[in-house]
Amino acid sequence: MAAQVLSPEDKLRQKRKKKNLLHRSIPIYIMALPGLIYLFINNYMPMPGIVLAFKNYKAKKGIYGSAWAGLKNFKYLFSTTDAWVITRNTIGYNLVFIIVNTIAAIAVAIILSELTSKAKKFYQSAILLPFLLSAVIISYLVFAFLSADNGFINNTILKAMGHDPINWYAEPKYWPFILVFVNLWKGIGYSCIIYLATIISFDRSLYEAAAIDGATKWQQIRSITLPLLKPTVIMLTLMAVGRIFYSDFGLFYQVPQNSGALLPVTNTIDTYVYRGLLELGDITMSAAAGVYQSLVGFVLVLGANLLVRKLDPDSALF
Amino acid sequence: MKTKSERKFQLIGNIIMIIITACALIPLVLMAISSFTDNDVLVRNGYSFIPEKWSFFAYEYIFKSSSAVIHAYGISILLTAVGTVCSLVITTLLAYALSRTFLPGRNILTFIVFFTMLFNGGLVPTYINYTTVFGLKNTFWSLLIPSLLMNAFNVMLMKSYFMTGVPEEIMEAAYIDGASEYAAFGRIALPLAKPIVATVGLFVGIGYWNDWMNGYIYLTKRTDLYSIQNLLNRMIQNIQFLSQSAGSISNAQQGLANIPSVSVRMAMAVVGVLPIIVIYPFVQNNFVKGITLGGVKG
Amino acid sequence: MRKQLALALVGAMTAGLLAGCGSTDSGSPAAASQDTAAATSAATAAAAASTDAAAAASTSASGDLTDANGAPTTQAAIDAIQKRKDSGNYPKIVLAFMNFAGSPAGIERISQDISKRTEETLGVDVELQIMDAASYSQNMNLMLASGEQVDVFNAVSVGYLPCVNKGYCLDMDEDDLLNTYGLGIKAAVGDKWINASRVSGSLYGITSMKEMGQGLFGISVAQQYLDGIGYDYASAEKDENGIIHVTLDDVSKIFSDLHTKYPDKTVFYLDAGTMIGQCLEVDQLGNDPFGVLTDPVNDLTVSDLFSSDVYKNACKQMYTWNQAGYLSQDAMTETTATTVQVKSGSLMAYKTAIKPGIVAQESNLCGEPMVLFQTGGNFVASNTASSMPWCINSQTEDPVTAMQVLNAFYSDPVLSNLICWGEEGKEYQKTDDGHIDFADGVSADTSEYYNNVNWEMPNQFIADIWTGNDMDVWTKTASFNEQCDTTKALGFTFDSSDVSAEYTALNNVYTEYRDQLELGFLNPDTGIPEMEGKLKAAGLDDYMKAKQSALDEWAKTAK
Repeated sequence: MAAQVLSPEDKLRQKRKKKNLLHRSIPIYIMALPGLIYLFINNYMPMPGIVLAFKNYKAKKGIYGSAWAGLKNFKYLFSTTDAWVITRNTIGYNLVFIIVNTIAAIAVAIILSELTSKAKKFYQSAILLPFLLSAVIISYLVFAFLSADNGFINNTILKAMGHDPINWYAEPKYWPFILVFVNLWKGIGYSCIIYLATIISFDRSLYEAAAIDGATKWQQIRSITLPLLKPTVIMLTLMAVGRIFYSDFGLFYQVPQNSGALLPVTNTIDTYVYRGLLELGDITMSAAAGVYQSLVGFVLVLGANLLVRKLDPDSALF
Repeated sequence: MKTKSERKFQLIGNIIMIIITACALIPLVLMAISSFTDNDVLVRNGYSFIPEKWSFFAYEYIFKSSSAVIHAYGISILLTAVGTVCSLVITTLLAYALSRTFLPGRNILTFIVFFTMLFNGGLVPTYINYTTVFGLKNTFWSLLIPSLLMNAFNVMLMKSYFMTGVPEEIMEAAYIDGASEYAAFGRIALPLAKPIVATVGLFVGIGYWNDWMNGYIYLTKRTDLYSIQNLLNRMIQNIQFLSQSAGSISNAQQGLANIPSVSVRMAMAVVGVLPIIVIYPFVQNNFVKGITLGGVKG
Repeated sequence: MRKQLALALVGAMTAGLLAGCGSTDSGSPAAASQDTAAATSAATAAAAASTDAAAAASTSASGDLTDANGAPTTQAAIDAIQKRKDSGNYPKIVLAFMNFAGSPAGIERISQDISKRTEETLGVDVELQIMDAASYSQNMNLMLASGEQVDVFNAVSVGYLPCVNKGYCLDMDEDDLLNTYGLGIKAAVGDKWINASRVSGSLYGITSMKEMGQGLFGISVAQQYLDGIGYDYASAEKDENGIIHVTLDDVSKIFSDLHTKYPDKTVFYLDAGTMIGQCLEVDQLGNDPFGVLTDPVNDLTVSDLFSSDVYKNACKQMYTWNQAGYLSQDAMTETTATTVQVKSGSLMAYKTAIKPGIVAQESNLCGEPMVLFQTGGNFVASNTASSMPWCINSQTEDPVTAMQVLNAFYSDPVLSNLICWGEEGKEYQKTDDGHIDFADGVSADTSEYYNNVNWEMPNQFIADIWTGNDMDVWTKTASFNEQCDTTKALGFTFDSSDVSAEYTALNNVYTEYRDQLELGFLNPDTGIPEMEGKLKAAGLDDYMKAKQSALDEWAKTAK
C-alpha cells in the first residue's frame, strides 16, 4: 500500500481526537491527585531512607550524613547456617498459604453467595471475627488448646482416646499443620470477602441461562464462576507473590510462644531478624533486612507479572 | 423453582458453613469465658469452658480504671469513622482514575502506586518524616494519616473492580448521552461499585479499628489519644518485652507482676472486638446480589 | 507525557532526599554552632576550673566549695547556675526514663514540682517523659534518631551499648564535663562504680545507685508450704539480710518433700534466659553468653561457657528436677510473673537473685511471707553496673545544663524524693517511725505517680525509705556492694558490632536450645554437644577470639 498522505480533514480529525483525549483526561488526573499526593507524602518522601541499610549510622551525622558501609549490614542474613532454614520456612509457608487460603476463600465465597438461608449473614459475621483478634490473643487461645498441663487437647481429647499427653510446644513436627490451620482460621473470613464482592457483580443472567440448559450447580460453578474469578485470583496471587519474603510476625513468633524447640519450623526471616536485633538494637541491620525482602519480592512480582502478561494480558497488574 | 441439585447444594453448603462457623466461634467463646474467670483460677488451671470460679473483676478493672477505657473507645470510634470516610474518598477516586484505559500514562501511574507495596522507607525514615517534617507527633492526625489513609492494595483492588465490574457499554452509553467524566463516575460507575466500596470500606475500617502501631510510636505524651487496641497492645508488648529481656532488665519479674492479669487482657480483647460485631451486619447489606441494568445486552 | 512523568518522579525522589536531608541534618548546623558554643564555654570553664583548682587546693584546708545540698562543686558550676538565673530565661531539660505501667497521671504535676525546685537551685525547668518498658525502647530509639529533644535519659531497655554505638550518648569526660559540673555524682557514686560504666575507656553513662552485685541462685519459697513439710526455717542460720545459705542438695531435699506433700502444685519455676546471669558465677562480659570468664575474680581468659562444667552441672541439676516432676511442663512458654503464680496458689518456689531487702520485697509481691535461700555466692559481674546508666544525649543543646541537672538528682534529696516517690502529701506521707507510706486514700492502683522503679532512679539512697524496709537498707546495700566477689573485668563491656553477623547466628542457635536445656527439658548429655556443634558452625570461635582481643586491649589500659 502506498504511504497515505493525510488529508486536511484527517489531520483535523486527529487534532480533535487529541484535544478530546486531553479534555477527558484532565478531570481524571484531578481525581487521581489526592491519592497521588498522599502516596508521595506517605511512601515516597521517606523512601530515600532506604539508604540506611547501606550506612554506618552515627546519630550526629544523621541518616544521610553517615558513612557508607557497603553491604556489611546484609552479612548477617546470609552468613548463618540458618539462612537456608529461614528462607525455606518463609517461602514454603507463603506458598502453602497462598494455595490453601485461595481455595478455601473461593469455596466459602461461592457457598455464601449462593446460600439462601437466613443464617447467611450470621455465618459471614462469625467467620470474620478471628481476623479481628491480635496475634497475642490468638496465641493465648492456641495455648488454651495446646498447653501441656491444662490444654483442652491434652486434658480432654487425648485423655479420652487413652493417649499420653503431648508437649506440643516442644515438638516441631506438628507445627506446620498447626500454623497453616491457625492462619486459615484467622484469614478466611477476611479473604472471602473480596471474592464474594466480585461474585456478586457477575451477571445473573448467565447463571439463569445455564440453569435452563440443565446445568447442575456444580457445573455452573465450574463453567461460569471460576473462569470469571480468574482475573481476581491472578491479581491477588501476584500481590501475594510480592510479599513472599515477608511473614506474619504474630503468627510465627507469638503463636508458638517463642519456643526455642520449634525454631526449625517456625523461624522465618522476620523472626530471625527480630531475635537477632533485640539485643543489638541495630537499625541499619533491620533496614537491610527490609531491603532484602522488598528486593526479592519486587523481582519475583516483575517476573510473575511478565509471565501473566504473556498468557492473559488483561489480568496483568501493569 | 428449586432443583434437586440446588437443594443438595444448599444442604451441603449450610453444613460446611456451620462447621466453619463453629471452628471460628469456639475459641472466641473461650476468650469471653476466660474474661469472666477469676484470675487466680486462670493461672492455676489454665483456660476452661467451665471455670471453677466466675468473676467480674476484669471488667470492673477496665471500666473503673477511670474513663481511660471509655475514652479510648471514643477515640477508636472517631478515628475509624473519620479515617474510613477520608480513605474511601481518595482511594475510590484514584482507583477509578487508574481504571480509565484511555488515560495517558496510566501504566506508569499504576506502577508508581504498586511500587509502594513493595518498597518502603522503613520505620525510622517514616517516623522522621512525620515528626520532623510534618510535626504530627502527639496529635490526632498522627493516628489518621500515617500508613492507613490509603494503601496500594485497596487501590489495585478497586481499580480491578472498576475495570471488570463496570461494563464498558454502560459507560459508553453515558458518554453518548453527554455526561461529563465526573458525572459518569458519580452517577454510573460509583453505584455499580457498591460491593467493592463496601469491601474496601470494611477493610479500611478494620484497619483503623485494629491499629495500635501509629498510637504506639507517635503518642508519647497524649495518653488521652490512646485507642482501645493501643491500650491493649501496650500491655501486651510490655509483657513480651519484659519476659524476653529478663536477662538484661534485672527487675523484669517485678514489672511483669504489675501488668494487668490475663483475665483483664481477655476482657480488653472482648471489648475491642464487640463494636465490629455490632456494626458488621449493617455493612453486609451491601453484599447483596447486584442488579443488572436493563437494556444492556450481554 | 512519559518523559514528563519520569522527570516528575526524579523530582519527587530528590525532593524527598532533600527534605530528608533537611530534617535529619537539622541537627547538624545547630549542633555545630552548639559545639563551638560549648567549646568556648567549656574552655572558659576549664580555665576557671584550673585557676579555681589552685584556689580550691588552697582552700581545701578550710573546706572545698559545696553547693546547696552539701555536695562538692566547682566555681564554674556555681557561675553557670548564676548566669542562667540572671538571664531570667530558664532553659528546659527533658529527662526520660521507663517504668512498667506507662506515663503516670501525675507526670505534669511532678514535672512542675521538680521545676520549682530546679529553678531555684539550678535555673532550669525540667520536663519528665516516662513510658512503659517496651514503648520506651521503641520510642527512645525513634526520638534519638530523629533529633527530638531528650536531654537526659536512662539507657535501660533501649540498650546501653546500642546507644553508644549509634552515637547517642555524650562522652562525659569531654571538656571535663563530669569533673567540673558533676562533682556531686562523683561523691555519690564513687570512682569504682563510675569507671564500671566505661566503654572502651570513654564514659558514656553513670549507673544508678542500687545493689551492684547479686546473690546467685537464690530460691524463694512460700512460707506456708515449708510449714507444711515441717522445715524449720525459724531456727536456721541467716545472714544479715535474712537469707539462709544452703547447698543445692539441701534444696533438692526440700523440693522432694514439697513435691510429695503437694503433688498438684508446681514446685519450682525459673524464668527463661536468666539462669546464666543470676545463677552462675561467670562474667558474660556484656549481654551474651558466647565466651565468658569462668573464673572472673582471677582470670581474664575468655572460654566457652557451654563446654564448661559449671554450665553442664547447672543444666544437669535442672534436668534432674524437671524429670522428677518439680517443674511445670509449660515452663518454656510461661509468661506469667513468678509472684503472680505464687499468689494464685499454683507455684511454691522460684529462682530469684538475692540483694538486701529481698525478703521484704518478695513477700510483698507474693502477698504472703517468703523464705529466701541462697545457694551461690555474691558476685558483681561486669555488666551489673552498666545495665541501667544515666546518659546525656550527644545532641543535647547544652551539655553543661544537662550535666548539672543530672548532678542535682544524684545529690539533692528533695529532687530524689520527687522523682522516686512523687509529691509529699499527695502521693506519700511520712510515718511516725521515719518511713514513708501512701498518703491517705491512695494505693498502688490509684496513686497518680507510683513508678516503683527506684533502682532506675539516679540516687534512691538519698530519698526517703518506704515502710516495710530496713531504715538502714542503703548502708547494707553499700556494704553488700563492696563485699561481693568482683570480676576482674569490671569496666569492660564487649562491643559486638564488628561481629554482629556471627552474633545473630549464634543467638539464633542459642535461642533454639536455651529453654530446653536450662529448664531441664532436654538431657544435657546429648543436648549440650548438639548445641555446641551448631554454635561452632555459626562462628563461636571467631566470636570468642574477638571478645578476647577486645578484653586484652582493655586490660592494657585499665587502671
